[in-house]
Amino acid sequence: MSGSDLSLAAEIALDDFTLALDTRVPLNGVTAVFGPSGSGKTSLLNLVAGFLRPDRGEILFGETAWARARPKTWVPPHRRAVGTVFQDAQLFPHLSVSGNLDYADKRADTEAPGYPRAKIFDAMALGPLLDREVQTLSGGERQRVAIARTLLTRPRLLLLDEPLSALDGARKAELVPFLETLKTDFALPTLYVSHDVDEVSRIADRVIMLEAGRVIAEGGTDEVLSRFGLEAGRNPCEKASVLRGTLDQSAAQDDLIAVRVGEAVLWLAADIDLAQGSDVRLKIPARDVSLALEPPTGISIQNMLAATVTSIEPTKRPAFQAVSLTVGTQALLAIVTRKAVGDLDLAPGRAVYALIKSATFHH
Amino acid sequence: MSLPDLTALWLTARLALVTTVVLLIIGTPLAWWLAQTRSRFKPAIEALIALPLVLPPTVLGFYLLIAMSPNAPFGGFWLAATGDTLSFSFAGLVIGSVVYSFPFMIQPLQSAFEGPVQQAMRTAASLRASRIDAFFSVAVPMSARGFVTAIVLSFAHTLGEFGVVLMVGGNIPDRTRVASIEIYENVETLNYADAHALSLILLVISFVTLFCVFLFNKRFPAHVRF
Repeated sequence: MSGSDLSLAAEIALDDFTLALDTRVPLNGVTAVFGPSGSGKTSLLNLVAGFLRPDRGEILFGETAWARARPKTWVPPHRRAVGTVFQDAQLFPHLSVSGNLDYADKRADTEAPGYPRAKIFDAMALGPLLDREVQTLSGGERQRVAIARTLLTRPRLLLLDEPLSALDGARKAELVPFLETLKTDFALPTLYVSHDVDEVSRIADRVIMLEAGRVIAEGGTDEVLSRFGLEAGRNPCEKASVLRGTLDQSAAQDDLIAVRVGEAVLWLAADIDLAQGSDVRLKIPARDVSLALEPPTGISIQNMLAATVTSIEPTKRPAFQAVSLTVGTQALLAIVTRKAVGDLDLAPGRAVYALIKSATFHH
Repeated sequence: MSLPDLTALWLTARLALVTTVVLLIIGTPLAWWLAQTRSRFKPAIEALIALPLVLPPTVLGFYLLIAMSPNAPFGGFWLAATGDTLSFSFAGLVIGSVVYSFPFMIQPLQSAFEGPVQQAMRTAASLRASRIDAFFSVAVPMSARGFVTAIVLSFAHTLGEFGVVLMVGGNIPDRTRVASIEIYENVETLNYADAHALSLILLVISFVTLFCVFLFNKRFPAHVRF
């Protein structure tokens, strides 16, 4: 019950949107905070860590209020039983590796149950790093030191802010086993911020999915990811995206159903028994999304969405590339040939039209 | 060299030292505030602090002289509190020098405190360090270079001060006649030998001080390792 939850019922106005949360995170296992960049993931972490003050609402750690408007309660970051590992490790440059570790050890919460120094050093394989200068460490080594440093403060809740994002592929693969050790050997409740499906499905027990400052889904990892067609490790050509829209019966014509997705309308030939204005999900296979630089004419495809390229990544088949797009605030994936990416000169930030060959209702 | 020269030099050194200490004490919190504030008054305050860089020292000295007069609220309060007038006193010189050298203390500290140091303060907080603990254990060592630059520049700039001191302190031997004024006095009275000697001493001291800063900045990274 509430005694073992982190309860977030808080609002804060950010630059682009308001982050509005009303969720409880059980204080066990790993909970991923998942969503595209700029969806409010890091701000959520900052609210929990105490680096941001909510405008409204309250943040409760078990039965302890960390932030509350009335009666006014504010626990400053250094008195919260929480440890943050930052994206880029943030080791202190004026201290050596062991100096960084001692810094945390000296300030540990002596009333909290901790782990023996030797166990932490072992788990993060710090032996050969202790006498090194911080500046000489690789990205992965820095993160290991940062994780050990945070563990030494004896947190009761661990916050990991995209610990892999500053690393390249090989370094990432190197660090993942350490994150798994962290989970199995230390059993610390953890909030794990990530925008990477593979990472989340490998490490998290449950997922809170954010979009533009709202929680759009939460639950078990597999259940949430599959609801959005985001299962990791699948053949990329079978990948699909899920777009949310509303049913617009009034616009139906020619035996087609109209679904509004943001500003655009998609036409579907389907029998569906839902009320006007119902929220629906459309599953769109990535192979059935084509891209064009201009709105094409003289084409049989009826469904077209204005989109922006966010990233382009290789797939397992060298001839194809996966192009991630945003449509309004939603994510859409297209699999196109590498040749097409080159011919259209696609790059992050490029405005394109996504032509959708097929879409099915998804439950 | 005759005795009065050394008196003036000693007075100058004392003034520069006291001024630097006072500046360090009031400048550090102000620079810290400026480095992290989002207040809309920040640009106005920054402009105010930078004023002595462009204002003729006589203008600054003139306003200070008026403020320090026993008839003015500030000067009157000082007289009532200490029994001594502020103008033409060592205390008055210190206040004048503090205002005059303010930007030389604030600006290096402020830029040292910005960016990485602010992020490091959060990191320290996540490691359970209170703000004051984090300031001394993280911000100060990370800003070591800024502190050295600020201290040395404030000290050296106060050594070279002339206009403000002359306006506020006058030219009273032993009390307010600093080295730069002594040199002026010597030249006026055609005592070129003493002027030469004193000028050379100031030149060497200033060069050595600045040389030390540049040497320090070259030898050490932005922060000091402990």
